[in-house]
Amino acid sequence: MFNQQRTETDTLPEPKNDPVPLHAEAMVSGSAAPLSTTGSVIGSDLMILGERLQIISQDVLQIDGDVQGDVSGRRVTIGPDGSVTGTISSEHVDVFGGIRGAVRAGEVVLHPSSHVDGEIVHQSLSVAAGASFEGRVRRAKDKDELTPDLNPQARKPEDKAPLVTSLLSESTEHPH
Amino acid sequence: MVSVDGTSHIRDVAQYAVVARRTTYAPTKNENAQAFVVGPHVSLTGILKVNGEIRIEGRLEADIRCHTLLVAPEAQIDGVIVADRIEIYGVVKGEVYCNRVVVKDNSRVEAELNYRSLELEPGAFFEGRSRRYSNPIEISPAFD
Repeated sequence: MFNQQRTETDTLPEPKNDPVPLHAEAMVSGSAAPLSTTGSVIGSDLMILGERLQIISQDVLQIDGDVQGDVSGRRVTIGPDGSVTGTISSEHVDVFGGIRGAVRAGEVVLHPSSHVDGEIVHQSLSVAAGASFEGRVRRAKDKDELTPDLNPQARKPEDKAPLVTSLLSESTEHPH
Repeated sequence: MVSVDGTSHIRDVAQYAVVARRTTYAPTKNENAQAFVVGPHVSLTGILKVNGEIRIEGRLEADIRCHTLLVAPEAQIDGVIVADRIEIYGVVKGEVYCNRVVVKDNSRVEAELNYRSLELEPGAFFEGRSRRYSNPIEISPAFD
């Protein structure tokens, strides 16, 4: 029901006047992320923890809570109060909050309030002044490399250990 | 494209909100009247220290220390850069230690960026490492 296409779309004229949306100003300050009218939201009161946890959204996912695990979605937005420890795979990632881990996405946008610690693999990356980013950046040569895998059945967790758990197991596997 | 669903709406907002609006290289004459200019046909090797602004239009294999550095679209720098502010339209390889780093559309940066404030436009090519410091100049290597 979320993806109902409106047929009148094609006949609507393009908006010609002021292209800046009304609440763009609020977002520049990083005080508020847009709440999508469709898709799923992980609320700010929610904390999701787990080993080899994978959250897969077929459409738009907004994360305002704290997630420890891997996140995949067609579009992923990390709200100003949200955080993800793990790998985010998506076509487009908007970051207002924090990420510790990795981002693999065609388009990555780090907004002024964002805080990213980890690796970014992208085709297009933009960073707004005020954003904090520590880590490595690589531009994918092939767009297919970054296409998120939204089919849980096709996934083999043994092949691709999620970053968080591989970090955790690294520390436990070497007691000597 | 008209946005009817929330998806494309966020996308539009994001594009405007990031401020990283693509800009073209257009230094005004007056602004750069005092700048030390390395012209398009110059290639330079060594150490370049200027207590002010430098505008690079040529090719440099040099370590640079200055206040403001402007790297023009056709310019290429290979080396260590220490400055208060750097604006990159061209190619930069090496290490950058700057309070404010602005990487423009169509530029190419293959470097280690040590910054206090970083701005990256969506059309920029950036590969390397990035790290935020409260005073990146403090940790820069000393020049001979």
